[in-house]
Amino acid sequence: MRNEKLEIKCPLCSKSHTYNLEISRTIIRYFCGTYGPWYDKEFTRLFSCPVKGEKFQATFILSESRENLIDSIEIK
Amino acid sequence: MEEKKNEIKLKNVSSISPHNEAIYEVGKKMLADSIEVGRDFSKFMINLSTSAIPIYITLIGFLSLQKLQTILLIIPPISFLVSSVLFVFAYLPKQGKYSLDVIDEIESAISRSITSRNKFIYSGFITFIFAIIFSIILMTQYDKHSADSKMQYEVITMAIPDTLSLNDAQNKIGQFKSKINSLTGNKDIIFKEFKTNKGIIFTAFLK
Repeated sequence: MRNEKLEIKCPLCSKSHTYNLEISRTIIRYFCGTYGPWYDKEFTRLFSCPVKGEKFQATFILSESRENLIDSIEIK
Repeated sequence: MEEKKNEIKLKNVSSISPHNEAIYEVGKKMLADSIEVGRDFSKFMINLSTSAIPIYITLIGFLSLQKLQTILLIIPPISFLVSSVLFVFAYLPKQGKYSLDVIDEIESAISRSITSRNKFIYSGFITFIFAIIFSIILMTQYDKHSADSKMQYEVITMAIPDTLSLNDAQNKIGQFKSKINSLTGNKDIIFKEFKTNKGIIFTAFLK
């Protein structure tokens, strides 16, 4: 579990908001020791504007690999 | 590499698309209804299981299955009763403590409630299906029972007196059986022995 901060310029109020993302990953260790390449994965999540109290969507990219898989992303 | 792994690149920010908004609404409804759906189903199944008992008893009487006089007849109503009790347990309100300020607590309380309710719902439903299948099997036995009672038999008898030696008696029975079998082609024959004071009456029942 890792906490990351994401700053988004809100499309509703045009202000910048910072959100905490709790990213849970599964780490797999292969005996053969060959590691796959990192690739980008897109995630679309709904965020709530703290000013207007309405929701908007944002798409962000995270890196993932064969031995480092993203399980879940929660917005705190 | 570690930095690349944790880097978040923002791609696009917009108001919610109509598709995502519809999905969000469906998700919200599913979450809100998740407890009520199980309770409603349990309520419906309590009525169904309990009303199945008198229906079953009526059908048994109608088909005169009580003549079978077997303990198997009481298995379906007991199963229906067990099933309805399990659905009652599923329907009962669940105890739990959670604070409305802590989202995780509410989530785990919902999850606990659904899990425990599902256990009762699954076991109740399996018991109900078992009772239905068992009842159908018993009902279909009615035809067999009825057909057996109406079955016409042709009877061929042979008397074996006590005076006959054991070997002779066995030979005679063997000859009798082979003759009957050759006449009927080995189909639907029941052989029975009846002991009397003066010997044995060997009988062949042909359907």
